[in-house]
Amino acid sequence: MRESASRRIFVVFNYALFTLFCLSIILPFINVLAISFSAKDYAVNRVVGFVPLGFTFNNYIKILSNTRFQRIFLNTVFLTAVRTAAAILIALGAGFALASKYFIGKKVVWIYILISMYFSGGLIPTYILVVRWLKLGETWWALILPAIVNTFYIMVFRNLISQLPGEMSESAEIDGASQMTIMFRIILPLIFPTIAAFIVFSAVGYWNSWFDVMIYLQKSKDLWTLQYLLREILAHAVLTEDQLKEFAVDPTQVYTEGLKMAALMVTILPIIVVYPFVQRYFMSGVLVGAVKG
Amino acid sequence: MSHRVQIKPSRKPQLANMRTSMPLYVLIAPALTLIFIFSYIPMYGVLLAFKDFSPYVGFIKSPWVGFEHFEYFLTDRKFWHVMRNTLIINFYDIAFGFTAPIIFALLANEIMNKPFKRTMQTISYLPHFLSWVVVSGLFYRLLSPTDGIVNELVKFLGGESIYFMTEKEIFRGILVFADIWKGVGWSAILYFSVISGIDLQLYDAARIDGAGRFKQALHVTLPGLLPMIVLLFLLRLASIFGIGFERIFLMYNSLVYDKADVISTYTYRLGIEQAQFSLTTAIGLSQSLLGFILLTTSNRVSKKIAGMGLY
Repeated sequence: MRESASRRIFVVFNYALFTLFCLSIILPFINVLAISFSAKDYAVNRVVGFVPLGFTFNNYIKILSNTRFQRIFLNTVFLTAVRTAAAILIALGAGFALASKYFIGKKVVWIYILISMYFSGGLIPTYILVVRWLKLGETWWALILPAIVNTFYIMVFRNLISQLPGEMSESAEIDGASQMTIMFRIILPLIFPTIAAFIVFSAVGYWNSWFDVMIYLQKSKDLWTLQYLLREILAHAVLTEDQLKEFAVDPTQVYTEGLKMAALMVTILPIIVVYPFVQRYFMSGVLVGAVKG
Repeated sequence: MSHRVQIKPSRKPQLANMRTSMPLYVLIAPALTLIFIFSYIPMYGVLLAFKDFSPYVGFIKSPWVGFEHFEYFLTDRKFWHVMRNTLIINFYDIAFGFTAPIIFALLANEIMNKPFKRTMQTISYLPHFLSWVVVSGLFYRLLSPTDGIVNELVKFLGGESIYFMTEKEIFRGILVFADIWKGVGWSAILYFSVISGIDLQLYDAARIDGAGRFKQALHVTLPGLLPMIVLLFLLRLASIFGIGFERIFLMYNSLVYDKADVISTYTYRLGIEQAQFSLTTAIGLSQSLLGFILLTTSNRVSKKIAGMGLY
């Protein structure tokens, strides 16, 4: 088909626009990477572009050999795993129960869940409940218990499971399978793409969370997660004396920007690493929510 | 007589049902318990708004004060200031941030080179998976007036170095831009899925009528997207009195409070940092009430005008 001149101009403009957009995402990371590999003697008072000045691993060595950083990294891995597993299992169990024809009182329970979706007590009542009534402040329970029920996941699992053809569960029942067996052996493999997508979404969400750490764990530095530590490191224009001491370095020898950017890179590394592998599950996760929102 | 005949056979399965349904209650129990504790008890806790809560006296014994806290914040100049900021930033977010994914999807739909499109989409999702801590860190670094690469570019083009993050007149623009940068690719997914569902015959018909690619986008793709746009717009409208806390809290600084302090950041400082529990609960309650009224109203309006609603 013959293309008009204006169409050709548009096409060029369009490709240029999207190329620019992609560069606006990639280039900042290359810049940050370059800074994190730069050495103090070369980089201070100069602008680091896309190539490190005086290439060194020093910033990473300082960050990764810091015992507090190591501890908080492990905290984050542990909490992400526990909260993700709990959130998925709880939602799966609830969704399966609500989709089952044997569940008596389905309607009442469903309304009970829906109400909690539309109304909430808000920040302060929840805070007072967690800290003053349940006395969970300064413990990991404050990060886990209030954060592991996802009503949206429950809704999606319930809809998906009730749309599955019933014959397979029925024939398994005739063979004497229990409800648990049916859930794990028959239902679970069938809705796996959605489960995988939700695992990815919640793992990323928990990995990135920091607000609950800020309000519930102010005093317990050893229980912090990576994002909140990163915030503390980044929030100070110059790393404070205290922080420098923690990284056990001579303040005159440290390139603070390099240290900060190395911390930032370590924080996002897990996401960047798994990103290509989990990408194929994105679509199934987003669209399943869109169909029945 | 006939009744009894009907009841009898139904009885046995009923008993069998109890046995099969027991595991189901076990499966759903954790969800129901946690919802009760962390959703229903705080809902009861909004009564704080009508009390003068003191942590030392406790929730039950704290005295009732009626609408005192509501009166207080409704006559407080500071509150109206942050309310104004909230509405202004929301307005920009809707004008630019809401339309960006629509334009993004329409333009990306014109990309014919499949590998380019796939790579572009993969890259465009990435910022969505980064935390606001990271994004704000990136912005502060890149926009630094002394050694940020953006200002290097500005200087290279002959301009003066600008400290974007502390410039009152620019800061709201940065907030809106950051939101678009982080979310546009991801938000466009929904629109992509709608576009892929549009009947190809419509395009054929438009072509026969002499419509070029542009006219096709305007008269086929855009109308196809319209229901989804209306739906998302309604959802968006309901949250006009609230602004995501993390973006503002992590990006603002004392030099731009005047322009960027919003209800969520204000209530956080008032509630958590200064322990004004009752007052902030009152603000939060009004906020969610307004949001609920907005949602139901706009839903009714949309049903009348567009013939469809959220529920």
